[in-house]
Amino acid sequence: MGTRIDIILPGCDDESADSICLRLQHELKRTEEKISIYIPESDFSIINKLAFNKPVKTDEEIFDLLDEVIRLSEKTHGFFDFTLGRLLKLIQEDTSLLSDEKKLGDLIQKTGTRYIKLDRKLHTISVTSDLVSIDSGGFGKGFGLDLVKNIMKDTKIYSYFISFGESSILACGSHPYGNSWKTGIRNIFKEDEYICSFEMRDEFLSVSGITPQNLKKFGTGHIINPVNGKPVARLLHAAVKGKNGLATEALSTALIVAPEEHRDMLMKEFTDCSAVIFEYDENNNAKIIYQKTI
Amino acid sequence: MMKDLIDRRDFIKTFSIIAGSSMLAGSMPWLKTVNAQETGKVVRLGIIGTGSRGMHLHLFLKDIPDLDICCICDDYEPNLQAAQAAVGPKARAYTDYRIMLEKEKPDAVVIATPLYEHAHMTIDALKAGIHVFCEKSMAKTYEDCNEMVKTHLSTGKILYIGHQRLFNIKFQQAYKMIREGKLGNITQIRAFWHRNNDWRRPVPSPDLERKINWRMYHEYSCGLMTELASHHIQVANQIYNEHPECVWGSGSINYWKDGREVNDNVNLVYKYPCKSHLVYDSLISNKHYGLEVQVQGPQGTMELESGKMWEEFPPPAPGILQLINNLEHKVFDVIPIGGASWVPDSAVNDKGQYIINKVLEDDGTKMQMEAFVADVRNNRVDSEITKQGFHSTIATLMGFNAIMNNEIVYWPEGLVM
Repeated sequence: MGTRIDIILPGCDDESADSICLRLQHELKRTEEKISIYIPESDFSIINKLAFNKPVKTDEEIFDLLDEVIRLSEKTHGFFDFTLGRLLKLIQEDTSLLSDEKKLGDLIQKTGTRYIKLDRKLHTISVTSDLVSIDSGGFGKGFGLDLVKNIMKDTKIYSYFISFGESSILACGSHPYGNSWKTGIRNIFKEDEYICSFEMRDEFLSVSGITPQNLKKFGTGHIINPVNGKPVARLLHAAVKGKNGLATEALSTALIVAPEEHRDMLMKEFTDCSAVIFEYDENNNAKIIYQKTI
Repeated sequence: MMKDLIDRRDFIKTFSIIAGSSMLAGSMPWLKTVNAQETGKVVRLGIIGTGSRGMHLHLFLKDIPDLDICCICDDYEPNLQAAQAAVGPKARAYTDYRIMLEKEKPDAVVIATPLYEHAHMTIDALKAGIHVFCEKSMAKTYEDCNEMVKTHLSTGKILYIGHQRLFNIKFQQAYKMIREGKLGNITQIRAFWHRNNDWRRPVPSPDLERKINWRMYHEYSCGLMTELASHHIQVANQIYNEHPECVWGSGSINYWKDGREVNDNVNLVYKYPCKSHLVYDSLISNKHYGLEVQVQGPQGTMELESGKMWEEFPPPAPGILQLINNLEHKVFDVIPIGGASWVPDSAVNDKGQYIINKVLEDDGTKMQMEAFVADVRNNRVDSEITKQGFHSTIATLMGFNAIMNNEIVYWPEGLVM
């Protein structure tokens, strides 16, 4: 999943911790080999390569995952869109596309989950637009954390804190000296400044956002607005806490691209989620521009 | 991770830093020679043994300024003719090295002949006042090795044994990092050298079989041990900074049953006085794993051939580190995430870090030949490099004997430099 994983198991003896970590590592590696688009033999790479020409048969796990992320895309009214990888690449290769609204508009029309067809009877996936490619980067870590939570149910560890690159977190039970796990989102420019915090207990936290590094690396943001096809160029961040890994990932991405007037509507679809949206200004100050807690 | 090609200036600078490290306390004096770019005095050099290895070394010798390759010698006519064409008509050709030494009286010779000829050729050259670069392994018996060392010490002439990893910047940088404690105390070294071919050379007529394929026969060679293993044994000796105290092992011919006498697979465990081991194997019926030296310690692992290292306990992300500190101090506080160093979706480098983040063109052979010629030019005699070759060959022969006699073989008493 292209990220580092930190696993904190308070009070767990070394032998059990090693055994749990190995099990998690094995499961996550297995999953990565199926969903990473950077592994040419992964299920998603094969779907991206072949499914436009003919239906690709897949196993139940991948089928159900795709079914779920399509459902989440619909639930976010299309603002969470994982089909834009090929379009982003086109834009990164030729940034003049950004000034050609007509062309960009035509291209964005050829993306979206509506072009992905699932045949549950035959367990096949088809893609009906050649511009659609599945990008697991927007939901892979959420899926991974959901798997981790399932595996951890089998262990006798009830309190733990697991971080995928500090942007996707699962915190279960509580800190040994508190009633929950308190996480604070720091200003990326000012180490000592907290922007907001979340109390977590058996919950997931997903942080999505555009950093100066993203803009520098690609020349544009890495999250595309599925309405107009333009990458988000503002230093916007969304932090979402919820009960499900995939859903918090989807919602945090959707909140980055959704217009202001759609945010409440989105939050109504995810009644078990809390969210904070903030933006950095030119002086590196972070300002909270939206907040919804349950 | 992209790597740039290392240029000569960078190379020399890095070597100077390694050689000058106080941690190493001058334990690698040969690296200082690499800085020596003195020219002026012409060095006259002869090549004894102009087969594939001798001609490979010539590729590096021919570009050294003020070096006159004045004579060549081989008792196999096709090799001598090919060498004459490569070196040029000015080099006089001989079929008997004794006559060449007597007539030419070169400043130095490079010996790249079959193993069983190393000792007498080296000793004759040293006694004639000629500096010697002899290919590894040093010789075929303990006694021959000992005689070579004694002659080197009594004549005061240079004796290099061709272990190019001593001049490979990647290996020497790794050695420095290991001595600085990057991996902790080294608890194990695993090394292997795997190929998948019969290790034979084409023979024009059956009567030349033993001459050309000398590596196949015990009369001339100790097979995989002296031809391949000695390199990695030298590396292990250098890393442990001592020679092994004993070795046990086994070997067999399990695939290339073509009349050869030497084993086509060997497996050995060397025990060092520091209580750690070198676990070594070599085979020529599978090349999947290639060659590698894996150095393991409680803090990390290095793979020296690929030039990579891994930390056992990479530092946690800053926020996680704070959480761990709080847990240890029984403090319930906010866990900071997304701090100053945070980049969403940042990739981790689980493929290891490079020991040297540069592409190396030279495996050490070029630098080794330059160092030898520079030492000859300045009559600098460094016994430390002789010691590296001596101790690695003794250990190599111990391994060979352990396999042949099916016994634990201890370091032969008195054979130390």
